Order: sequence, then structure tokens, then C-alpha cells
Amino acid sequence: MKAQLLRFLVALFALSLFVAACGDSSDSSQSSDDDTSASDDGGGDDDGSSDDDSSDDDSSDDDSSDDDSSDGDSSDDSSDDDSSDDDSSDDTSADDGDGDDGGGSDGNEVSYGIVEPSWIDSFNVQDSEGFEVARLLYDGLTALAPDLSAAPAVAESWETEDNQVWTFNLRDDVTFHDGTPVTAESFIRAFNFAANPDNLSDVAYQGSAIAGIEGWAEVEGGEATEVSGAVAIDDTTLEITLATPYPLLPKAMAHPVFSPRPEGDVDPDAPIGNGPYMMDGVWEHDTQIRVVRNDSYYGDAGGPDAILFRIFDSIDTMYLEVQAGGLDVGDVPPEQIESAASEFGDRFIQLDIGSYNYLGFPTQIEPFDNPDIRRALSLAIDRQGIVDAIFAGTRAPANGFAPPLAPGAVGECANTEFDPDLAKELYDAAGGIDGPITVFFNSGGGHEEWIEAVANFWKQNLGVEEVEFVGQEFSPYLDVLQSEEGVTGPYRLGWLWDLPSAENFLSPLFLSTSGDNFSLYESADFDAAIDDFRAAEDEEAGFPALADAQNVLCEDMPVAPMFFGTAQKVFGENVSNVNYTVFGYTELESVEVG
Amino acid sequence: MARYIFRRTLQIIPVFFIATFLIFVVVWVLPGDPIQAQFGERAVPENTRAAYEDRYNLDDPLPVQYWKYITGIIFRLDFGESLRTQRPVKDIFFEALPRTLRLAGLAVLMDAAMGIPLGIAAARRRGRFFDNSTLFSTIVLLSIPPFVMLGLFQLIFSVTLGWFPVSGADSWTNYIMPAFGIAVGTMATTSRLMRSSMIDTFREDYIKTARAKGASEGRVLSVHALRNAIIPVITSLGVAVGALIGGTIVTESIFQIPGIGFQIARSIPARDGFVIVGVSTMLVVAYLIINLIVDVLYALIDPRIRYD
Repeated sequence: MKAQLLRFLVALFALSLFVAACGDSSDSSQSSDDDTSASDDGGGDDDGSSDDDSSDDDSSDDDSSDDDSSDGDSSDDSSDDDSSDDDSSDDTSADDGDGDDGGGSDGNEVSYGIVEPSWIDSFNVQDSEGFEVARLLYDGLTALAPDLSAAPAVAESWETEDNQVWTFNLRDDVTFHDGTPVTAESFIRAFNFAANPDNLSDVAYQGSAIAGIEGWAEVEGGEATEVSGAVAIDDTTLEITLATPYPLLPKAMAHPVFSPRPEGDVDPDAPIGNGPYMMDGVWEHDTQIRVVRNDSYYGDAGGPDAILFRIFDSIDTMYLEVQAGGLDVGDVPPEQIESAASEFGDRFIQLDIGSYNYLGFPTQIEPFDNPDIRRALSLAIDRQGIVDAIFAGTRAPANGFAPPLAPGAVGECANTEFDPDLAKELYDAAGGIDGPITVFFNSGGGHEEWIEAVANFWKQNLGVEEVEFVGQEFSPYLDVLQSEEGVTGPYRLGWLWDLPSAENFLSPLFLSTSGDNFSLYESADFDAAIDDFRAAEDEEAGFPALADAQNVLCEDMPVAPMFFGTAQKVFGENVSNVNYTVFGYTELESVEVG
Repeated sequence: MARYIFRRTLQIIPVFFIATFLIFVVVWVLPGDPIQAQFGERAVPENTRAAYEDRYNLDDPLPVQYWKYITGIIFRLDFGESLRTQRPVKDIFFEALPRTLRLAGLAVLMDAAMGIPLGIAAARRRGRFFDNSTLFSTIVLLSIPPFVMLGLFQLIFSVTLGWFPVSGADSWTNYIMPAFGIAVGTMATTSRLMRSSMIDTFREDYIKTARAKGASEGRVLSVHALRNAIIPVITSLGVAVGALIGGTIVTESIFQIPGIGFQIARSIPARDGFVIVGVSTMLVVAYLIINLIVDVLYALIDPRIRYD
């Protein structure tokens, strides 16, 4: 017995040695090891007999924990707000000891909830939370205006004769956060860096597959080190040459991957941009990113002095923080959208975003190679019914191949309407489907319910005898989709646009040469329509071509569009003027505090 | 003595290789292409796939991958980097470890502070109402799923009462609720163990002797009985810390405490294999080293061991 105690104490000692030796890099920059290890002793206290780690089984998901949010109403009386605000700001100042403006909450800081981004350094910004941060840190050649056109940013103006060679005229008063000037060379540096395979940018395809800048793909493939299509005529003139004409280039240039890059190495946790806000300290992973207003910004840097991105793993927790007053703006968990709408009133916002869900058909195999079968399967689904019954109206039934807010979208595709009689007619005329239909989808993404509803519509309205479901975790599911054999039945997928244009919902998913064309759809008419669009004088002149492309799709129905996406946000009482871009990003620079 | 240390150190080597190989294989044979997982619903551009395979040796056969990985650890102390963020696993681990230790330590302290007195009190009132109701209530608490209870805590103590921050890992006040939530779950075991150990001790001769000598009940309890009865409880609490280091996934996620379990749990759906393997390997190394030190010190103190 005594021996056990002894063993335990020795283990404790050994552990504290271990922790002390490891040091603690958790909080921002290297704080002194001694401090932290001392505090760890307290925490590591009773660690004992060095047992193996237990296999734990509480990996069940953390959702649905707090359905009864009605309890949580009436929470935000002002005293609560104050105390929790103080807490968080105290923590902040305690942590990054480089004394930011004032210790207490200076009031003019907005806290905003995000999920941990993969990257905030412009060359690899890829998820919406990364975009939210990067859009404050960086200004590209262009920015997207509220009407979804390209607006001047670093480039004052641009011109092109043929949509293939573009000349961007840059401002001469733009500087990076470190004070160095932004020139045409800064953009070329950024292009070369992003395309370089050594840097492993997940969004490098923006330069080749989307914008189609000449020489970009060669750099990606390791055949060159410099993007030949980007040339600095002088400090304020950048010439970009494309492989093929592309009228949307100014919009495409708003993507962060095309933002300028300063000279030298950049810490990906404290990137140096040229935008209205700049990093305050470093990104504390899984904790927070704090940015402060850039006083030397060339434009109007906007409202709050500082914006604190607080990072959450669980949307439920983020939502609770807003309820408790510890967070100004946050997301709403799907199962709480209805209660949030009533609890937050006009501090709840729902907006349409450029995403959608569809059921794709493997168009190369029987019976899905028959367009009538595909039309029938689409016509038999009551999308509005599913939206009302399952999503409580928080999605929009898809009426076409691009959401209505995308410039160039035509919608009104007759084959997306609910017409059980026509569906049955087409289905029978085409000879129906022998045997069961197998539907593929990824499990755990909240798709089970509506896919089951779709199956029921097929059974009811078409007389399909049996529908089988293959639900897999997302990653293995994608493997199946991309394998040689592919899928043998309808499959669920979604798409989020790269830039605001209907074209971005069409080319990637349906061009016969595209890697994202999982339905293996091939249509010369469609490809020709897209070529027409790309050859058009400007975006608007290309709209008829885009409409043609969508009409071809509506005839052929290579996929059955299902729903267009929405996003929901709630915000606390001490902020106002909360607006959103069509990407679902908050315009944090215009939020008013107090 | 030197021979003992040498022998004991050698024993680490096969354990290290077997453990890390098992972890490596289990993680990488999981279905799902790790590169595709970084791209969501979008097809991986070919050039990018090639760059990934090149950098992370993903196109090598598994044993070769393992060999490259393990030699990186041995010769360069390089535990790999995250596929998703390219951050070194070492950084991720050492950021996460103190938070997890804080949480686990506080949880065990609370567990002890609640479980031990309860156990003692139950032992003294064995078979009576208090004893039975303690058993009943601890088991009820144990059977509530942690995410339900923790969510309820957040609603009551943070949202409604505003006593504690909802989430975060910066300040020690962040750790109180989650640690309490864990302690409530483990307290059932502690109090039961304390109770039975105490009852056993009460039967010992030296307790009878102490009573016969006229020692007060309080003295018998605290000096004679407790000091002996508590040893298995402390051992069990020590084991609990070990278990909690990798096993507080739900709690860490709900309270946004980015500790060890949090990092591993997030990396699994993201197929970020190097984080899972790297963090687990570092835990293995830590356990091995601690065990080694303990055994060596133990042998120093107790000569019988080195002659075994």
C-alpha cells in the first residue's frame, strides 16, 4: 500500500519534470517557461501511475445538448453582459502581453464567432471562416460590390480589349501593414507563391481552373517558377494575360489568393496584408484572432477599433455565448433556427447564400442515361414540401441550376417543379427502372431525412418499388464518387460558388472536361454555350449564353437541383448595423458598437 | 544499478515501435482519402494532389510511410505536420497538453474533494439511508450523458446566472464547469471505492486497538483509518488523470478547451492523420518516459526490484 503511494508521488514528480521540460507554447508568443510549468503542476497534480490512455466512448456528438433554449431567454440583462465582457477582455490582455489598447473593454471592439479556419494567410484561404478574416486583412486588385459587380480596390481601374489581356492600373498610395508599398510586383510575388507546389496551396486552382492565367498551371505542375501571364509594366501597372478570354476576371481577382504579398517570409499565424485591419499579435489557434484598425489604410477603414474573432468548435457553444452576452455575433445551430428567430427577433438574420444541394445522376449508366428517367425523378419531388416539413422554411427549393442571387441565373426550370402526373407519364414511357434505386449520400451531414423523403416521393409518385441507401462518412463517400466505378445511382453533393456568377455553378459541375463533373455529363450544346459566354464582350453580354447553358441542363437534367442555401446569424444587443455580403460574410467593418 | 537502467531502457524500444506502428496503421487504413478530405465537395486538382503526395509521402506503401515517419521522429524529433494547416504536430501537442492537464487535474481534485468525504460518510453510515441515497444519486448522475449535463450547466450557470464564462480556455474560471462536469461522472467510482476501502479498514486489528486504547472516534477515523484507506483511492485518481488526458473529447469541444482529445477528435473526420498519429505518439512517448523514470527511481529506493 505504501509502495503504491510512493509510486504515485514519484510519477507526479516525473510528470511535472516532463511538463516543465516541454515548456508551454500555448499562449501567444513564448511566455516564460517557469510560470507556465508552475501553474501546470497544479493542474497535473494527481497524475499517477502512468497508465495507458483509456479508450473513451463518449465520442457521441455534442449536438442536441441544449434543445430547451427557452430556458435561456431573458438572460441578457445588462449586468450579465458587462461581467462577461470584462472577463473576456481581461483574458485577452493577460494573454498577449504586448499591451494592446487598454486593458478593460474599451467598448469599440466587436467579437465575432467563427470556426477554426484552416488558413488566414491569403495564398491558402479556403474556408468561409478564413475568408471572414482575410477580407479584413487583405485588399486585392478588386473587391465585390454589394450588387455583385467588381469594384475597384488596389486597382483603380482596368481595361481590356479582348477579355484575354487585362491591364490593371494600381493606386500608388497602398502600403502593407509593415509599411512597405504595394506595387504590381507584390501581386506577381503573390501569384508565384500561391501557384508554387512547394507551398501547397489548396486554392491554387483559382489561378488556373477559374481565372485561367497563362503560365499558372505550369508553375503548379512544377515546370516553371514564375507565372508567365502576369507582368509588371511599371510599379502601378499590372498586365494579366489569360489562356482563354474570360469576362469575369475582375470578379475572380477579388479572391484572397490574388491578394498582394509582401517581400520576405510571412508568419502564417500573423500574416501581413494591406487591408483595413491588421493582425494584433498572432493567431491563437482554437482560441482567437484579434485584428485592429489599420490607421494607414488608403481607404475608409471603417467602424470598430478592433475585431476579435473568437473560435469555436461547436456551433451550439457559439450560440450560447451570444445568448450569454459573451459574443456579439454568432451562428445558429440548425436545430435552433426557429427558436432563435423568436428569441432574437430583429437581431436574427437569415440570408440567402451562393450554395446549393443537388442529387446527381450517373448519366453514363442505365437507366440514368435516359434523360426522361432523370426528368421524371426530378419532377416527382415536392421540394417545397420537403423545405417546409424538414427545414422549417430555412432553405429555398431550387428552381434552377444556380441560385437566383447569382448574376446570370435564369431559374424557372420546369423540370424542377413538382408535377407527379407528368413524372409518372415520362417514367412509364421510358420503361421505368427495374430493381431498386440506390441513393448515395454522406452520413452525418443532416441529409438523411430529406433523402428519405425524396425516396418516398419516388415510391408514391412513380411506383419505384425499392430505394436503397448507401450512407457513408464524407471522406470515404468522396472516394466512391471519384473511383473508376463511381456510383450506380443518384448521389448527393453540394456546391459553393467561387465567385458571384451563375457561370461558376455551371462550368465546374457540367463541362465535360471538368474534374468536378461527377455525373460524367457530356453535352456539346452545353460546352458550346459556355464557350460563347467566355467569348462574350463582358459579363452581361454573356448572359444569353449562360441562359442557353441552363436551358440545356434543364432539358437534360444531369442532376436534380434540390435546395439553395441560407445562413443564419444572431447578434447581441450592444451591436447594430450588422450587414452581410452575399457570401454570408459579415461586414464587420461597418458594425456599430454600443 | 546501471545494468538495471540499461535493461529497463531497452525494454522501451520494442514497446515504442509496436505502439506507434499500431497507431499508424489504424489511422491510415481508415477509409477516406486524406487529400480529398482537405477539399470537401470539390475535386482535388491533379497538380495539388501530386504536391501533397510528394510532401507527405502519401503515395508510398504504408510500411515505407511508417519508416519515413518514425525515422523522422528518431533522428529529427519531427512528429510530422498537419495536412490541413501544415502546422507542426509538436506545436499542436504542446499547446494542447497544458490545457488538458489543467482540466484533468482540476477534475480529479474536484472528484476527490466530493467523492472522498462522501465515501467516508457513507462508510460510517453503512446500510443506512444516507449510504443508500448516496449510491443512488451518484449512479443517477453517472448515467446522464455528459453533453446533456454540460449543456445544462452552460445554460444555467453561464447564460442565465452569468457566474462562469460559457467557453474558452484562457482563465482558470473557464475550467471550473467542465471539470465539475467530469468530476460528477467519476465521483461515483471514487466515493464507492472510498466507502468500501474504509469499511475494510474499519475491520482491521489496528483500528480495534486504537479504539481499545481510547482514541477518540475522530482520531481513529482521520489518523488510523483514513490514512490507510485512502491509498487505493489515490491510485485510482491517478489512473483517472491518465484516462482523462485523451478522453475528454466531448467536454473539451463543448467548452472550447482545445486540449489533446479536442485535437484528435477534430482530426479524425478531417482525415488529418499526422495529427492523430503524432499526438498519440507523443502521448505514448510521454507515458514511456514517465514509466521509465518512475521505475528507475523506484529501483533506487527499493533494492529488491533491481535484483529481479
